[in-house]
Amino acid sequence: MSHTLDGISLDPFTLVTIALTLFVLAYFIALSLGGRKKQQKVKKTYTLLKCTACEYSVEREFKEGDYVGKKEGTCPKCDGEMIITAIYVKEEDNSGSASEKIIASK
Amino acid sequence: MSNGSDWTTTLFVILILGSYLLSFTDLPQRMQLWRYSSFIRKKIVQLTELEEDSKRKAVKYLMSLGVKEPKKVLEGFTNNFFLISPVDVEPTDIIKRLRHLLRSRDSKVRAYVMENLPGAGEVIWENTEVILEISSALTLINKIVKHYYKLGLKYNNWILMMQLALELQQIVGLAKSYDDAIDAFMRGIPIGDGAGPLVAHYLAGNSQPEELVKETVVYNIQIDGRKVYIIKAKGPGSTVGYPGEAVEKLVEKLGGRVSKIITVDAALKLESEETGEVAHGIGAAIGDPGPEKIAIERIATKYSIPLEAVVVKMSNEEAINAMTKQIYEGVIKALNVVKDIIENTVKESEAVIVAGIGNTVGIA
Ligand SMILES: [Zn+2]
Repeated sequence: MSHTLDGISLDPFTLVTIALTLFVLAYFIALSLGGRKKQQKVKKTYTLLKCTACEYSVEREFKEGDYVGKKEGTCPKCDGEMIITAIYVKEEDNSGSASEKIIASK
Repeated sequence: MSNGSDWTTTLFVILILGSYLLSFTDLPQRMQLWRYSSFIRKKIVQLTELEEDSKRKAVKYLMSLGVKEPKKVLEGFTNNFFLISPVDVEPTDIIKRLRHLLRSRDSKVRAYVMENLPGAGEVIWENTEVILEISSALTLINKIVKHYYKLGLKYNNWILMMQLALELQQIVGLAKSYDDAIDAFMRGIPIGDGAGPLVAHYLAGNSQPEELVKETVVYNIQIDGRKVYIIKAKGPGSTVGYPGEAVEKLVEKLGGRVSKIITVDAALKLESEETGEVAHGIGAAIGDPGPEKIAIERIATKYSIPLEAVVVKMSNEEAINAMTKQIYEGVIKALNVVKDIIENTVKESEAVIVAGIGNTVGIA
């Protein structure tokens, strides 16, 4: 078997082995990279309030105890009654701070 | 260069031997079994984490309500309260029997929750029920996955293993959305399935509801001279009510003088469809196990009342999680479609019933 050791000369077997190894490596690298490319998005819950008398409406972050149909406060424009008309989640692109990224990855 | 031809021979022999091994033994299948089972094991770890997380949340919620032994309450619920489907080879009466079983289960669950949370009130009881149900559903999903995994290993069933592995991505996604959904119910945020009740809520405006049947209310309003009866589950607790029974009772009360019944519901979208798309058609848009839907169909048939359906499309995950902005926009569209149907196809002074079907959590 001494003749295999002197060979930096590439025989077909070594070539095939190297090619296969490279292919498998590339495959796994591609797999592990592909999984990481997902864009993280932040979800936030908002409450939409509308005035019952005029067209005024305002969106704020959801608070515990909010529900659609709940009366809350008065309109800053006409002193009419404000009512919660919708609660929904908005997905926002994560271009923001590091703390937001932590929330998204949870 | 004699060693070169030596290696060519060896390579040739290896290739031949290799192809024999791959073609005439079940070695490839064994390798696949091994690969798929290791993939499944990883996913089972994920499922178990989700199950534990849901349990933690449920325990935390129960603790915040002042339950002394929240773990025991949760354990007492999980695995119990199953429902055995009625005999279907003899379908006579099956709806009555199914209805009876469902109602019995509902009242048993309610009794269990009330026993552990005396005096908490309807909204809390309803939300607690759903949180317990979700947590026990996650336990069940995990158990079923483990069951097939163990069967596959036991009998070297590589096809079963492969099927399970291929399905798991979707199953884990669903489990994750179940776990997320608990947050919505804990905080009382409307979910995607609340699209129907939200349309009903908007249509009703600020008129006063009247409880028609258990956990289900009716509003009576006028739109351009048309009498509009709006049915929805009683909010803002997490319940779907009994809309079928309510429609039946209301139609009978009106002596069948109803010119149209419109059901509004969330519908599962196809992958190529957009969330929040609105469509309308014929039939009862309601996804209960059967009794409520058939009640609407039967009463409509009895008095030959046209049955129309308006749906807001969304995915399974979106239906059980906090309502997204797209679904909210769909709700506004659906509301306009319902108004159009009433204005264009119902004559003045005639009566029409609009039933907003779905879970009314977070919607009064
Ligand atoms: Zn105002």
